[in-house]
This record gives sequence, structure tokens and C-alpha cells, in this order.
Amino acid sequence: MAEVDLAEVLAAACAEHAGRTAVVDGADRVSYTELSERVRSRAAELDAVLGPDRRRVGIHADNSLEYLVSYYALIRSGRLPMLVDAKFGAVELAAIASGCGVGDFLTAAPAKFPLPAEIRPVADSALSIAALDDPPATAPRPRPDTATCRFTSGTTGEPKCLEFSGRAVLAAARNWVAGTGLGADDRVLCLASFSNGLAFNTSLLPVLLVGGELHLYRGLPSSRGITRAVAAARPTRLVAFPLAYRVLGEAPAPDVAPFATLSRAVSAASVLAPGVRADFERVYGVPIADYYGIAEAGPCTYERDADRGEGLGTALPGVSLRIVELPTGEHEVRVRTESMSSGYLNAPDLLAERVDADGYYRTGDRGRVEDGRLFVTGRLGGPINLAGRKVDPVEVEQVLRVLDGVAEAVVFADADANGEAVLHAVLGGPRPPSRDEVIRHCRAGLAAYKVPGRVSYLAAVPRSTTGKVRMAELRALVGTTESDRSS
Amino acid sequence: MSNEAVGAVAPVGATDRRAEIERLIEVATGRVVTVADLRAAGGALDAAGVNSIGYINLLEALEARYGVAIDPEADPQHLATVDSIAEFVGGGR
Repeated sequence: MAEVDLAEVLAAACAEHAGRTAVVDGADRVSYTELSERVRSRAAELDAVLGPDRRRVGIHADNSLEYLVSYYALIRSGRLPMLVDAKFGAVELAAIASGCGVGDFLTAAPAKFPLPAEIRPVADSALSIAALDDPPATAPRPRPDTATCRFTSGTTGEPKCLEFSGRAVLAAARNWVAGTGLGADDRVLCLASFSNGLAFNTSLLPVLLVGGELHLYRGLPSSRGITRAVAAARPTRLVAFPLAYRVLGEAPAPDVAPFATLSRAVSAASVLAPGVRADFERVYGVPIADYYGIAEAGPCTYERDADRGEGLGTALPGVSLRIVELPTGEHEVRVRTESMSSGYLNAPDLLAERVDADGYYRTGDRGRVEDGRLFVTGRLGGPINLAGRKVDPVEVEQVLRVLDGVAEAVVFADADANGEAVLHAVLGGPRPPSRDEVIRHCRAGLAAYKVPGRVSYLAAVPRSTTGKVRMAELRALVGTTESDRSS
Repeated sequence: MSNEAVGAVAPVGATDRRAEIERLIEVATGRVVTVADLRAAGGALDAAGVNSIGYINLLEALEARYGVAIDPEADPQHLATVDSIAEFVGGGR
């Protein structure tokens, strides 16, 4: 297939659906015609600020119409947008800057931008360019067809930068549309961040491709906030994390009337507990469709049958699933998709190592397939899933090890009293810092969700003769319960 | 989170509200952030390590317990500390 220009794809969709509403962000409502015009003018405004040579731009902001317009404008102006988690702090941003060659970030909160930078306003935009005072001296070369980049927590201690071609992004969108029946009459209320695969793969392009309405959500997903947004948007689809369905299902006085227009609630990114599904469906009468997606591979499955109350559905078009028995006897889920990332910009060979000889990505998830339906039963190891956000413990351990008095740091998934996954840091050393100091130190550099909630201290971390941490012994020493929601 | 937050607290007068809110926060965070942690952090929720899930649980618990809703987008300062929450709740807003 030839290279795909996502700006042209959007322009064609805007022309096809010209008079319809495209995006609603609070009081801002734009038609497809207006969206196309805004993208065109924003591209010119970004050209004026960035000039011809500054091509890589991180977007470090919460969802907004401005974000969406700027994302497509960057593509239109021949630049490489990099969708950065808005919660990332100085450590993550500095690693992205140096490891991926990014010297410019779009930000909605210039006064709070975590790195030293010159703020350059973008005309007619709520976003500004933060041009780093200390731009990267070198920059790894992206693949020629890379159209956009996203990030995932990295074992190397810094966020890994996923490169996606325009072809892969379009394939993800088209397969999502075909596999889920998304259409022009759909109004999609999206609670997830664009930098997360849940929103990227279900909303940022697919809704616009078919001429639907994309409604954006701002703020914490409390039951009251979501209900208010549903009442305003009258969505046919809700895209959210299991956490949102939990708070809705547990709401003390749920207002169910606004949910009457909703025909499907899409959930992904972390395990949807059976009780959460049951509560939500009982209260609101809307089936939840669980979907399985992988940062590196895009959307993989979707449950089309509204009466199915378990599992993650069947493979989407363009997706092939296989279950492989490992030497340990465990069964790993592997996927091959048309929407695969082409590699990590800042770790060139790493993705290829995660793909087997037949082109299937090793997800690190344990699971099985029954009658074509995928069931994920846990993790083989690696990143921890915290309510939909992947955190590699190594990244947090590296930050902890630079604290005075810390000789050793081990971070792992524990469970809080509610059964939610929580990061537990075990510190070893002569003068370990207080919990207060640990939290303050981590918050200064890391996204808040990567800050350990539990902190324990040991004189020394138990290790095998080869130096490997004895996790079972360590867990027993600090008194933990392995989270059943950690995958 | 279960409705433990609602059932765990007995009816109290205004003078005990601060302690009650500390307990609500502890429950909202799955007891990861304890009352002692909160006090060590001077009552500041961020500094004590309350994460976004904890904040969401707390919003739900405050509404269930007191019938008040804090809009974290419009009025984030009301959620910043134990004192600011107690003041907001006490104001009956």
C-alpha cells in the first residue's frame, strides 16, 4: 500500500461530511467545514512559529478541540506530532527531548511546563509552543513513513517512543469502524486522553472518518461529571476506562435518564471486573463492550455481541490472534495487526525483538481463545497496568535510586484495600528517606500515577545468588497482596 | 471502591469533620494514604500521595456522605487540603 497522508485523509472526510458537526468541546462546537478551515489556518500559524526546520513537536496537553486541531495541523505542515501524556513530568519530558530529539512542545499551561523553555504563543490558539532552552543536540532519525508517535513506559527507564505510519493509523481507524459498526449517526463521548491508545484508536480519527460527532470530556471522571457530559452530548457511544464504569455503577443516586441515547459503552485498557460490568449494566441498561488493544499493535478485539458478559470479544478486521505455550507452561497472547507500530524511535531494535518469526507481537499477557473470543487472565511480567496506564517498574526504580540514602529500590504491583493496583516501592539502604521525601521526589519528576503509593523499607533486598530479587520473599517481608487487577 | 466510605463514618458534629474527612481520604485511597501520612504532609493531598483514582473515589465519597459536589475543574483549590475540603463541606455548598 502506498504511503498515507493523514492530513489528506482528514481533509477528504471534512469535505464529505461538510455540514455536519465534527467535534464538541464544552461550548465549542465545530462542523467538518470549520474543522478543515481551522486545521489549515493552524498549520500556517505553526509554520510561522516553528519555521521550516523544527519538525518534531510534542503535544503535552489534556484533550481539547485545540489539541485535535493542532495535531492534524502539525501533520498538514509536514511535521511529526508526538502525543505525550499530559501527566508526564520533568524526568519523562527530558528523556523524550534527549532520546527522541524533541525541542518543541505544545502546551496548554505554559506557566506550569516542567522544563525550562521559551514560551511562544501560537496565534488564535489556546496552546503555546514551549521551545526548550536546552534543545537536544542529536536526534534519532524516524522512519520515512512515520506520521505520528506515541509513548509507552519503558524498561530502559525512559518512555519508549512508538512510531506509526499513516498507513497503520488509517488501518487502525478503518478496522475499528468496520469491526464495531461505527457510523455517521454516532455521537462518541470520549473520556480517555488522545495520547492513550483507547482514545487514539477509537476516537481521534475513526469518528471523523465516518462523519460522526466526537465529544470531548474534561476533568476527573466522577459520576457527576460523566453524567453531566452525557446529558450534554447525548452520546450513542461512551469510550472510557473501567474506573469510569465503576464510579457510575456505584453512584449513590444515579441519574440514568441522560443515558437513554447510549447504545454501547466501550471499555478497554485494564481489566473490567465482572461486578463493575454487572452494576453498570443493571443501573443504566447499557451493555459494555470490552475491547483489547496494545500500544504497539493498536486495537485487536471487540465484543460485538451485546449479550456476552465476559471476555474481550473477537478479532477485529486486519487482526490475527494466536496463543503460544511458553516453556514455563504459561500461555501468551500474541497479535499481528495492520496497525502495528513500525518501531521505537529511541530503542531501534527493541520492537523487532518483541515480534516472533511469524510477525506476531508478544504482548506479555497471559490468556486463551475460546470460540474465537479472547480471554486475558494476567500478565507474564513487565509493565504494570494502573487503571489503564502502563508503568514499567524499572522507570520508577531508576528515579528512586538517585535519592540520598537509597542503595536499592524495587517497585512492583501491590493491591490497595479496594483491590486496585498500586505501586509499592521497597527501599534498601543505610538511611532511607521518609515516605514524604519519596513522594515529593517522585512527584517532582514523574507523572503522578507513577508515584508509589506504598513505601516500605528493608535493610537489604533479598536476592538470589545471581543477584535476582526474590520477589516472593520480598513480598512476604513487606506484607503485600498481589493485585488481581494488575493486568 | 465499595461504599465503605459511607458506612465507615458515624454521624459527627462540625468539630469532628476534619477527622472524618481524613478517614474518608484514607478509605478513598484504599488505605494506601493513611491519616498519619496526611498529617505528615500537613494535610495536603498531593503531597501525601493521593493519586487520580483516590481523588475520584473521594469525590464520590464526599457526595455520598455530605451531598456536596466539588468540581475539580472549576474549583481545584477546594480539593487541595483536608482543611479546604472541611471548609467547603462545612459551608454547605
